[in-house]
Amino acid sequence: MTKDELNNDRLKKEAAHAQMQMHTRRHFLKESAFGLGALAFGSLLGSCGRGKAASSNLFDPVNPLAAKAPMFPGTARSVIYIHMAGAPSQLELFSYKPELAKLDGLDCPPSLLEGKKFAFIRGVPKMLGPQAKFRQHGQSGLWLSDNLPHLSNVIDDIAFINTVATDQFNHAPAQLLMNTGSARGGRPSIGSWITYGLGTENKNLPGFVVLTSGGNNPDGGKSLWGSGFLPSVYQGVQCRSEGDPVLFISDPEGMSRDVRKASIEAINKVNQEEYKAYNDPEILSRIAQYEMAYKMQISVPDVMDIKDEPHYIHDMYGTKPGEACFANNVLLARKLVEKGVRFVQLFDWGWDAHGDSAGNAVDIGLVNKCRQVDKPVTALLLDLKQRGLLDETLVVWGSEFGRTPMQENRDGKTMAFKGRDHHGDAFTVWMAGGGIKGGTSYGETDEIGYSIVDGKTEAFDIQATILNQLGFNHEQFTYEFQEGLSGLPM
Amino acid sequence: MAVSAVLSAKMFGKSVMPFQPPGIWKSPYNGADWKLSEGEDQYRRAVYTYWKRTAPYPSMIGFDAAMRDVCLPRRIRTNTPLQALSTLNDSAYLDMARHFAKRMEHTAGNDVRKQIEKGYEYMMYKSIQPAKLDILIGLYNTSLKAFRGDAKDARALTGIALNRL
Repeated sequence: MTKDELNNDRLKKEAAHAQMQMHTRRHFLKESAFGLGALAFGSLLGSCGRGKAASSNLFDPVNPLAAKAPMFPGTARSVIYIHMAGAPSQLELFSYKPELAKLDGLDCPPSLLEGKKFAFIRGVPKMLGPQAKFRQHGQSGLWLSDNLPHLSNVIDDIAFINTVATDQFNHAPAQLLMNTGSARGGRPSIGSWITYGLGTENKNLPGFVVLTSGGNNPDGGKSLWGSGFLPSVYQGVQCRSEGDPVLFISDPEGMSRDVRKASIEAINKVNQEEYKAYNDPEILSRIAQYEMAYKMQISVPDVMDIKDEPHYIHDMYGTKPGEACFANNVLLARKLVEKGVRFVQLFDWGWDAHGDSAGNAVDIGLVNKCRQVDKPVTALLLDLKQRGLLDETLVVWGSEFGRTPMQENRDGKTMAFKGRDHHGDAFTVWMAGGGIKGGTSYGETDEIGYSIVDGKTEAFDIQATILNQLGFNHEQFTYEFQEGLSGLPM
Repeated sequence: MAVSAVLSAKMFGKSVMPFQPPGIWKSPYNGADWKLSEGEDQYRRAVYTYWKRTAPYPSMIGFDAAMRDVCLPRRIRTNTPLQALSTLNDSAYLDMARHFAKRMEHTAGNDVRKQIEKGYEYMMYKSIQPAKLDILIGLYNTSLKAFRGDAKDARALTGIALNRL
């Protein structure tokens, strides 16, 4: 392509993106004008036969969350996606680099800095050797850091992708890219795509549930589980991690179930009249959500309470009922997929490691974070396995990027603690269960874990892999939301 | 609050703590309590609601409010069952509904049909279509029958002031 053609191509892409954003912003207007809303109850746009997409439009306005068959038989039925927000250091967890230890304290060679931009590193930083011991484990003999002693017991179930790359080096856009396929807001999250494609198996619970821990929500905010241009019924439902998981679940005093049922039916009938007048599919989502609310009033107190789990399960996960913690969320995730929830996403905040404080040091804060997650994540794999669920549940450990093999020198100064800067050129995501071949490692990085030598894997590949395990070809899985404009998951 | 005619026009001053069921709000680090504000301070504009980064007002989070610790170029479209649950069961909404009912009664007298017409107009700034009116009158009759059978329920639901609940 010539330069002009490239520019044209870029402009076309930007225009398409802008149009999608426009669609989200003025959803209601567009729906009325272009007549997607004209699709009557129960009829699907797919019958128009436009485009090559095999899946066409899977949105059934009458029953948007009904369980659907994938394009081909998948190996996974549900997903638990754990996003470690802040970016854990692959060099202290998964990526064994003995050569880096030899370079510890030496000036970074100029060849590594040429043409590179960092979030905080300035001038010439020093190399920082691995701040953890590594050992080989299991039949596979894969290397794992001593920061994750429990996880070493299930290493033969895990596939490590050590060559994940991103072009984003700030938390929020990088998280958006990993979760929605775009560094800018406005696109549907992977969880909403999957709920759109497969619906959910438990009619009484949302199909896509989000739980956060670590004291903060991820920087990328609620767009990380938003539905973008997909109908908002596929948005992730964020439950609380402390106290009652869902607020306002009980009827007010004096409200009987019968009157409650009658009032929700009346609200939905009024909304149906509204839909007849305006054709806005979002009204159908609202109807579906009132129905879901009614069902959740019955299902939630039972499913979303971990207190009644047996003692040995609490021991296994290291849960603390009543407190906000990652372990509780992991156990809840297992309970939810067991009950047929399609996609559970956990965000754990606090993995940043710049070395500007003890909590942000790769040899202190990171070690503490590992202690919080090592046991529950391992318990999750073991527990899913003992329940016969690991085969059909895809577990993903991911983040937005990795860390530099150099020690961070913010503003060219020596930091008080040992830390590493943001680094998107090579980091680790792992998967287990759901038909993934365990005890394997994919891709090769250089001897200091700085660059990829072979097997570059981007956010799109991760998403495509997840979709593949669930039975979807990512290039044919679309949502046609406007005349002549289809949305692909990436 | 505006259509229930309870919205306070008061401006400036300290943040307020509107209705919230007990035990929900926990303030990390200092263990502060949520002390319900009194009188019209219950009904200030949301911008006056007390907010801590680590402990935002739960109802706003239910409606996917921005978290304030990072910039947000735009709000996402949002539509969850949690929002339905808030409007159905949050005591703040129940309180507003009671005030709204009083306003409907006050302007339309004892004629239920007129009350509903008026209420819809307050809420939507347009007249109600006949089909919707029939649906809502149907709900009124169903509820009336149920509450006639159980006066205790009726008293509990229509209680005089939420402050005492």
